[in-house]
Amino acid sequence: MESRMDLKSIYMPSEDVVARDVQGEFIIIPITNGIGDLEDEIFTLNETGKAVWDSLDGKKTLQDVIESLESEFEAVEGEIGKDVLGISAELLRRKMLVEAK
Amino acid sequence: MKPSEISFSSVSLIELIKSAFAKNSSFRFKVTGYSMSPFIKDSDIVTISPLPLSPAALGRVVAFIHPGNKKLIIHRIIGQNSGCFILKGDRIAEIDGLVPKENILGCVIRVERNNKDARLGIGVERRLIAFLSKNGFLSFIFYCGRLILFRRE
Repeated sequence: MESRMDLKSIYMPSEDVVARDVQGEFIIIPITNGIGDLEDEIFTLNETGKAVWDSLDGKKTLQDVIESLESEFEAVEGEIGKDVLGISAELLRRKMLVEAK
Repeated sequence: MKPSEISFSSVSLIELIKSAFAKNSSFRFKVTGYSMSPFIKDSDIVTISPLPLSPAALGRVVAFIHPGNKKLIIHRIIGQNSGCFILKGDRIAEIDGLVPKENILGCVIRVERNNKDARLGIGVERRLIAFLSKNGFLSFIFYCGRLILFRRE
């Protein structure tokens, strides 16, 4: 059963991915049935996405992540929160993030 | 995003393979080049796995970092000397020189071509292919094969 995402949720990268900076792009490759598959759909993150990925460390809540990135980057009010929630939801959907227990 | 939209350099591929192996996973990717043809052809998809290497490794097709140019290459083990492996592409005359064990990333365990498995060259016949390749007979066989095909046309 999937839990609902809210600002108190805590997430971390799944063990079943390979994530690397490759030639200026941050790419995430899924590991399916014990195979890191470069021929499968891979996911790339831009600078904002990478900052979100790096912040989701299994300790900070989404609220903490938003506050931390708001203090680091200049953006229109509410924009960073929207990005963090959007990117987290997409990564969760792709099973590249897992909820920290 | 489809991987074909990104061009991966040797260095990037090596990093990705090492990252996958660190998670006890194999790694599947598309190859380019003709040095292992007809057993591995340009645009085939190979799966490599971090299998342990031993004297029984003769004939295995492996992904390794070339000691000279540091590029990722997939060639066949045709012998061993002084604790290093002697590697060679099936289609080319020159050997890659002595390659230390630590430069070997993993073994090719599967080759896919046009969505089907291409098994010839990585099964038990690999030792015979290694013998033929080492002694220059493989090039002769390919040459004769081309002559026969040319005459039929």
